Parts: sequence; structure tokens; C-alpha cells
Amino acid sequence: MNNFSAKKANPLQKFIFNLKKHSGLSIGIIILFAFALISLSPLFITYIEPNKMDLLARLSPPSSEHILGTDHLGRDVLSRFVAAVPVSLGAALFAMVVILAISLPWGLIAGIMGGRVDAIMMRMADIIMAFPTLIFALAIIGFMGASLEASIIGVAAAWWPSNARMIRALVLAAKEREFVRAARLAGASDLRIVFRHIMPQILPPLTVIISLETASVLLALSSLSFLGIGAQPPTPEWGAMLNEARPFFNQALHMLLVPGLAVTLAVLGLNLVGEGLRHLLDQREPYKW
Amino acid sequence: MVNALLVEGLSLHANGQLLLNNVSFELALGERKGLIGASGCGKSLTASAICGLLRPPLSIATGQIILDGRNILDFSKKEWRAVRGRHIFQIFQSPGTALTLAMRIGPQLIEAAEIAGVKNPKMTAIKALHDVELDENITEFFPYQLSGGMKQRVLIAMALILRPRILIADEPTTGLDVLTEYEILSSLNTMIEETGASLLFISHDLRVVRNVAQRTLVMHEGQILEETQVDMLMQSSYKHSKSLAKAAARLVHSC
Amino acid sequence: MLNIKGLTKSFYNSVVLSNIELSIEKGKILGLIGHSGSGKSTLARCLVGLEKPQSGQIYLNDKLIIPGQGEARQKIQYLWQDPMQALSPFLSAHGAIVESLNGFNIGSRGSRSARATKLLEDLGIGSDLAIRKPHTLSGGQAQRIALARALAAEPDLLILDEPLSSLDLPTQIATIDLLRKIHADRGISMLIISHDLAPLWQLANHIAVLDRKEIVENLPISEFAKKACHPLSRAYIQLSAFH
Repeated sequence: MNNFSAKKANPLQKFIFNLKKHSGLSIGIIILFAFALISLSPLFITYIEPNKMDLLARLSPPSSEHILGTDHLGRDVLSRFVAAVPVSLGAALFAMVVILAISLPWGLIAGIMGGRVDAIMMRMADIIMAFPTLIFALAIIGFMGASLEASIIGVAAAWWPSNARMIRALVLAAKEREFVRAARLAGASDLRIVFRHIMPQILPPLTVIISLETASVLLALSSLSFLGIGAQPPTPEWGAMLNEARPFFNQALHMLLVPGLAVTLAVLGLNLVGEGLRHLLDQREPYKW
Repeated sequence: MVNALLVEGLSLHANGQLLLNNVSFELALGERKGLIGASGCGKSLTASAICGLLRPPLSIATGQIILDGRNILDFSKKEWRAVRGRHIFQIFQSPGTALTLAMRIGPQLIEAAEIAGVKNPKMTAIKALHDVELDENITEFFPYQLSGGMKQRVLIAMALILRPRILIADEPTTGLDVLTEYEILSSLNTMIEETGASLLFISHDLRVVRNVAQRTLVMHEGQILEETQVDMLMQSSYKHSKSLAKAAARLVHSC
Repeated sequence: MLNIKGLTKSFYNSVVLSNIELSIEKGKILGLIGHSGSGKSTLARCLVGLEKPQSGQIYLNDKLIIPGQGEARQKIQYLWQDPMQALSPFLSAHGAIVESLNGFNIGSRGSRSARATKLLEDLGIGSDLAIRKPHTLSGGQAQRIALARALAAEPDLLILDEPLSSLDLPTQIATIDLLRKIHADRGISMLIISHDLAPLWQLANHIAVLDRKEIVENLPISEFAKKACHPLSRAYIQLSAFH
């Protein structure tokens, strides 16, 4: 009586049905998918070389030759935008991977071991968290010298403690569940308990956190490039492009709009995916009888 | 015989599945009736429908529930507020949700007495507590300081104050120990005798129903199988009624 | 078989169990009754290491044990009051039992899958149910799976915490019959915790009554109705006939 007999549908139909039901998530996925396609497009389409200067066509508005116009050095804005996709998004993703590589084991070990190990590991994380995130990143970049790599390392170093804390909190809640204790009494080894009983519990909320945080990291990295201490010219990067467009915004608005919208859309896409996943995974029973 | 409550042809859907199928029964003024069935048969759904507590994806397909000549399925939220408590009072399995968390028991009972419009709210509240055999000093407690059985009896005291015409009790003693169960059932009997309310008592346990009602409805897979005397259930022609009676008989010990 | 000596447990400043002395004979069933809050669940949880008592010793087969550690973890198995809560939502019934067999290294590696299937079938869980996740099953089915997992460890003592209270009446009767069958077939000692004497008449060899942190009565079932003199015991006897 309680078992809802789901209608037999093939996986594709089910997938499409789910996309319709979760419109935010599907829009987010489409945006991110579009960015992925754009970053691969140079393999099939020949763009103008992104760093090729044409000083005679400086600040020219969109035309048939330069679809999105040119910048103050006469470089094609479209090809710079396309070339910046893997740089900006790639840097954010890479920073997120570094953050996870530190915070996941850190949070897991602290949460599972508990006691003194937990206290020491969390105090170490607290020390870093005591600094404002960007200030700490700035300090590291200042030490290493301004470059995209330095800004990735700086952001990751400042970011992982808050992430580790979140993972630890998830682990603490997960390991207190009765079925985890029951599995231990039923003979499951410690390693098995971590990987088969605790990890599956924390992965869904973690995916949500990752996609939301990637958006924040993208913004942080773009801000650093905008300030001139991230990606260095002539590397095409959205934040850096915004910085270059700043003095010319009343002459060539397209220079500002293209990277600005690119950042906005990327952040929007990541946020929609994160929020959508949260909705999708938060399957509380609407009514229990 | 005047009906206090009339349920007619009630059918209920959730996600395209039929959960209640053409449920009809009536509750006369001052009548006590049981509603028994195995878990998942739709007993609690029936109670929720009568108390206006259905939420999506649950929806009523057909049928009506008549209270005082009006179909309560058409009620607005405002009309429900006027009816709930005074006309229909419900006691559920988890009593915690029915009491305000951040308020002491005393003020909650006095508030109920003010709604009921009695002359001396405080005295009424204390008398109600005495009637359900709870100590006076309980008025100083917050709900979280009380055990499940005590909260259940506070709710019965509230019903005593509000004097509803219909009391719906949905598994009020399930999960409580037998001593507490006995106390709750006696309080419930006291309350019903004093107020003359009609009672619909929902349970999976015939032994409990027998303590409060002579007649019972038997439900199976969303349908009402029959209405019968509790003592006649053993002789029922329905297999499921019989198995409920047999299960209860197995647990009665004669020493 | 199991001897509890002077077990005391308190949470913060309130004593929950005070100087408990209790023993279970080999192959016998002890019924432990008491009302909610009397500490009966806490006592059971102390026996499997889910709670740590402040003092007292527990002997299993005349050997001092640390509950939940070493051999005791396998030899004393515990059945949660709510079996659904104790089963992982990520594992099928079959998977949960194989996990237990692997953990305790029971039987050869290759034989474990078949062994799990057989164990589940013995308890009336067919192969169609065995591959399903617990939350798609009924309470009664989940309980039989939890029971099969406990039996998979080949325990000497099985502790059942209110095995009936979350089930409806027909399922309660089925569970009583199942427990009697398991006891007859395997001769495992059991400790059954209940708030109701009624099912224990049909199951237990011994009845102990726990009232406000102390054991107030401990008699063989044959003498319980006549000899029990504590008022609480009398109340339980009356209530089990009253229903």
C-alpha cells in the first residue's frame, strides 16, 4: 500500500522528466555545458589569434569582422572571451580540486578520530580562518609574486579551512546515525564504515557545497585578476579583461559587457546547479502515514 | 439518531495511487467507535482527512465529510481555525507537536479555557489536570520536560476544557508502555463521560480499542470492510477482521 | 552464561542503573520489563558497548568482557527497537548480512553470499526482498532482516530491545512465533526487553522487573504469577490479563 509503484519509464524519459521538474538545475547545467562547448570550440572553428593586435581597429564596436568588437589594443574580444573560458573556469575548478584535496582528508580524519586529534586539527584550521580570506590570499600572492598560479594557491590556502570544517560537521552527524553504530556491532571494519556508511551520507551535501563554492572561488580569482595580481597580461582572463576595459567604459562598453556577463553567467550557472542539486537531494517525505 | 460526523464516499489519491477507496461511516452524537486495521491500511489518513491535515501530494478525489451539516472539505483556513479544537479535537501518536514548545503548560491550558469562555479559567485548568490525574505543579513545566504519556494526558485535559463535540484519537498509546497506556485510557474515558463527546479511536490493537468502545470499523487496504461489535469480531466473515481478533486473543493471558 | 555484577550507570548526575545483578542461563530467555525511563534500554546498551557503565563487571561464559570489543562484539548481538534505523539505507538486506559475515570472518569467502541468502530465507525474506533497500520494506520485514543479520554473527546471546513495540498486532504475533522458532532451532540465549508482560508469557523462561534503576523482581516464569510480590510486578500481571 505504501510502495509507490513507479511507472516503468526508460532512463532517458525519466531524465527529461526530471529536467522539466527541476528547471533551475537544467538551466544551470545548460549554461555550464555551453561554457564547456565554447572552451572546446577552437578545435573546430578558427578564431582570430586572441593576442593579435590591430592598432588601426582599436576600440571598434561589433562588426562583421569582429563580432564582439575589439579592445584598446585592437585585439578581437570574441576570441579573447573564448580563450578565457578555460583559463577562468579552469582556474576556479583547479583551485576547488586543491581545496578538496586538503579539506576532505582533513575533515574526515578530524571527524572520525575525534578527541585530541580533532581538537588539534581544528585549531590549526581556526588559525587560518582567523584571517579574512582575501587578505590571507593577498599575503601569499605577495610572497610568491603576482601570477595566476600564485592566486590559485593563495585562494586555496585561505579557503580550505572553512571547507574542512563543513566536512567535519557532516562526518560528525553521519557517524552518530544508529545504523553506523549497528554496522560496527555487526562486524563491519573501520575502513568499511568510513567508505560504505559515512561517505555515502556526506557526498550529496558535499556536491552541493562544491558547486556553490566553485562559484565563490571563481569570483575571488576574477577579483584578484581584476586587481592585477592574478592572471597577468596578455593572458586572456575575465577579471583581467574587466580591468583593461575599465578606463574605456564610455567609449567601448562591449569591452566591459562581455567579460562581465561571462562571469555573471558562470556564477549563475554554478549557483543554479548547486541550488538545484540541493532541491533534488533533499528528499524529505512530504507526509508519512 | 443525530450524526455528529458523517463521512461519505471518501477517496484519496497520492501520486496516482488510490490510498482511500470509498470510505463511508458515521459517528452519532456521544457515540464511541473504534477504527482498526493493520499498519498502512489508511487509518491515519482517514483521521488526517477529518482533521483537515492533508498536504500535497495527497488529495481528495471524491467524497464529503459532513460536520454540523457542512462539508468540511470546502472549509477555508479561517473556517478551520474556528472548528479545530472546539468542534473537532485530535490526539495523535506524537503529542509533542500539538503543544506550544516555548510556553509553560499552565498558560497553555488557561488560554484554552479563555477560548472556551469559562468563568474562572485558572480553576478550570487545574480541575482538568486533576481529572486526568496529573499533579498541579505540572503547570510550571514546559512540554519538553514531560514524558510522552504526560503530554498525552495534558492534551486530554485540554480537550476536557474545550469540550469538543468530536474527539479523534489516532493511536494515542502506541509506543507507550502498558502502565502509561492504562492511565491514558482511563483519562480518555473520564473526559468522554464528562463532556459527552463522540469518539473515533484509531488503533491497530483490538485490546486497546476494547477499553474505550463497543463498536468498531475494520479497515483494510483503504477500504472499510465492516462495522461490528468488538466482541463479535472473532465471528466475522472477513478474513482480515478475524486475523485482527485472533492476534489480540493470542496476547490475552489467563492466569 | 551471562553474568552482570554490580553494574552502575549514570548520566551526568542522575543514576539510571544502580548496582544491577542479573544473569542469564545458557539457552534460556530472560524477559526484562519496566516502564519507559526505568533504564531497561540503557542496561541493554551497556551490554553491547553503546553506553559505558561507570562501574560493574560483565562476564560472558565466565570470562570478563569489555562490551562491544573483541570477541564480545560478535558473541552478543543487539536488535534495535526501531530496526529501520539500524539498517543502512545504502545496503540491501543481502549486502548487510554479507558485510557482517565478512566482518566476523564466518565461513569461507566464497560461501558467504549463499549463506546470507539461506539465512534470509529461513526468516521468510525471499530473494526478491533481499535485494531491496530497507526503506522500501515494511517494519516487520526490516525487523526480520535485522534479526537475520544478528543471527549471521552466530551469537551466544541475542538482546532484543522492545522487539514488538513498533509493529502492529498481527506482525507482533508473527514475530513472537518467529522468535520461538529461532530459540527452538538454535538454542540461543536471549534477553528480551519489553514494557508489556503479555508477549513474555509466551517467550520467556525468566522474568525480571526493573523499577527506577533497580531490579525489584527476578523469578522463573512458572512462579511469576504466584510469587511475584512487588506492587509493580502485580500491576504488570493485572494489566496483561486486563487487556
